[in-house]
Amino acid sequence: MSKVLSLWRNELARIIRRPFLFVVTIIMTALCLGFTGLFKFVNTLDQMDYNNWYNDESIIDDEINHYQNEITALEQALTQSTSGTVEYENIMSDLVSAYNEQVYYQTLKEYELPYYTIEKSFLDETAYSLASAQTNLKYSDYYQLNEQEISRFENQISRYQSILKKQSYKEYIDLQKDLLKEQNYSEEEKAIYEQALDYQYTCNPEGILSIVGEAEQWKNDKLSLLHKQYYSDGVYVPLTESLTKELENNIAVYEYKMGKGLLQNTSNENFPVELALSATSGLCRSFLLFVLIILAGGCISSDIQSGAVKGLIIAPVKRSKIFFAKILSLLTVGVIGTLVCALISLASQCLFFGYSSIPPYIFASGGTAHKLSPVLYLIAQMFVWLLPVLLVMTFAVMLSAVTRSTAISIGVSIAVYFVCSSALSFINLGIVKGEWVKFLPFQHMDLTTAFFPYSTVSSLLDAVGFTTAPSLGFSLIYLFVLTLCLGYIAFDSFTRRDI
Amino acid sequence: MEELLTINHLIKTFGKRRVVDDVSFIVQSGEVFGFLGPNGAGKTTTIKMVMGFLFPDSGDISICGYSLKQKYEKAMAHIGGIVENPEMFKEFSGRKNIEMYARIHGNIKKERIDEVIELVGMSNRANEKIKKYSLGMKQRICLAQSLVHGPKVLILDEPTNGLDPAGIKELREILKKLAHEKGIAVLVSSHQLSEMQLMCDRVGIINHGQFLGVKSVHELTTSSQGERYRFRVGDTDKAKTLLHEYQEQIVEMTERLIIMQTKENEVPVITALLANHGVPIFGIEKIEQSLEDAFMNITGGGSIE
Repeated sequence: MSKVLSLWRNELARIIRRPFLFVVTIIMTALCLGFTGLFKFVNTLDQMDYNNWYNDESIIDDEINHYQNEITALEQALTQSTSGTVEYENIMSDLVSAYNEQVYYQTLKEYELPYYTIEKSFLDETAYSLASAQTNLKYSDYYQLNEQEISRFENQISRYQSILKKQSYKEYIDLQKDLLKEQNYSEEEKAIYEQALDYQYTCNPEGILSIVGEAEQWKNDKLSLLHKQYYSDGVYVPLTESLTKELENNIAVYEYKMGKGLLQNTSNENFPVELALSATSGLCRSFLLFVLIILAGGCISSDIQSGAVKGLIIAPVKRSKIFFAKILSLLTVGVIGTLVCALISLASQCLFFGYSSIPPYIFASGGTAHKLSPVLYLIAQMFVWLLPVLLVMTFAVMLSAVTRSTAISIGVSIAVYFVCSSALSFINLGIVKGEWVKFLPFQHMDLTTAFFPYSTVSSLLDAVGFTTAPSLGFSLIYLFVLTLCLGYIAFDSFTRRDI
Repeated sequence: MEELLTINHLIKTFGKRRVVDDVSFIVQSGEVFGFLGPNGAGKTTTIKMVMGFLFPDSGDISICGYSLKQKYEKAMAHIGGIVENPEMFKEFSGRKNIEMYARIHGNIKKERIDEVIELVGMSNRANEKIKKYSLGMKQRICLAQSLVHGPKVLILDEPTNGLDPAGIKELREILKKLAHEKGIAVLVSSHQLSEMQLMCDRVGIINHGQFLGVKSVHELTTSSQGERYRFRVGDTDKAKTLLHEYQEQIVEMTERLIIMQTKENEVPVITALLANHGVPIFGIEKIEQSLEDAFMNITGGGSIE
């Protein structure tokens, strides 16, 4: 064992001495700092006021006039049509729609709302609801509304107008809650809907966002659990036991996040901050990948080509120990490199955006939520990325031992990695399907989602319909077995072939 | 003398060509053993099998009593050497290379490293990187590395390549010292037969993969039938007549020279014979038979016996 450790030390000393490692580290650090700085710069710019792009009174006036012309023409046509006929019904339907649209644009004009908005889109929804209510009132005879229904619409109209006047998200939420009472929901359903509305308000009291993604997902998951079915591809499918447990875990995660104010949303306000960390860690991984493949691809072939292998063969160690020492040194560089990459990403993010900008990982087990600190989460993500890279490295070592050509080993390994990544995209799009797909290496090249299923905003159920990804256990076993096979080929080639 | 390197019935085939064909010989402690043969004879292949680069098809190698097949690490612990061109880790200094090699052996002190560096005359340059070394300097440092762990067997494949005459002389003295004073078994292969004649105690000759035998250098460069002597005379015809009557063997005769195969104690008798019969004698010299001559005779089809 001591000889293996001595050889390992020697190999590490040789690797660390290679100038290109320092160059790559410096370039990587500079790019990470540069990218993060750039994202910071973008983030501090005034948010592009999309509203001003479309805040053009003339556009609204044009729409109002357009629909007025349409209404006039339809009313004219109506007088020439006979009531009760299909033609009459069609004209009436078009007339109602046109009136609805006109009132909507008139409301925008009256309350000085923009033509198109991203922020505060609850106002846009309110304007549309107001138009709809007023349309119902105007054509109450056509809709055959009774007094009670007319009264309800009048009440709604006044509340919509109040919301639009005060631009109050709180009033909007309260109105939504009151509207729930008019629906035929059970008590449990009402409680869920109300709680979802409370979550939305808690996380977003200004109503800047149109939808708070995870609050909505929480509501859907609770309803699915309540009804013991989920909605997928247009049909309701009964919940299985495993899906039920996943839903319970999902809900635990959302509730934990909402309690701690960690809810994710779909706004682009935080987009540069989140993208910065994603970009720098992705950049570091790319650099590290190339470094590891270059080292692995040359670990045996370059020594043979240069003749430096003589010093190793002449030493009183079996070739198997030399081989294991080389593998150990590559693993060490992989681990150290991963930590360095995590550190660089972390440092860049903290420097420009602060430590609080780095999200923790909230996960659940047995219906109970747990939290992984931001630093550990980032490091864990990096190491999960490293797992399939070890397979590619072993492939490079195998080529290095078999072909004894550094150029072929590195070139083919890089090409294979990118082919696998591209193939994974095809598989994820559902272009290639079938059980046999999981026996190819492509789906096992990205284990991030398998290890961190709660890392994305999208609902579990959104993915259920497309779930063809193999289980985490299968992926790990597959990677382990394939790495072992490739490693054995490399081992056999190095230890039993003449040099 | 102890048998430190034993090669038994080694066979190695590349494709259809048997490059080493049943080679067997022994190298003893305290001797410099020359391993001679023309290009492509199988010298380097044999040496590579001893050093662990190639796997023999059959046969066995033992070093200090340890079989290379069964006790590889123990056998290799007693061997050091240079195969073909000296190669080390270019990014490190000579000293660092030796330290890294010594680390694998274990239990080698820094003083020992300094000692071997000084032995090969590289004390002033040992801390420079290998990539700055000339071929001769690399040879020296490689030699130092080969000796750092105190091997009992030293194998050098064409060690004089790239050395200047002073370097060759120095190397010869080092190797003879290592063998005769330290008791190391030194195996050297080389084409420089003149140098081998000066350096080696015994030589083994290989040709076309077949081992032709082992003899001491002294035996190869002398003959039981006596040595050769060159007589420069004034009248070769008369001298020839006289020598024939005296039944001396004339090997070669030119206008002014007669080369004879005779024993040393006959030289004064022949000299007196020629002088007494009026043949002018301008010079007499003994012709040393070179290893090259012996080698060319043997590899040209002659026997080593």
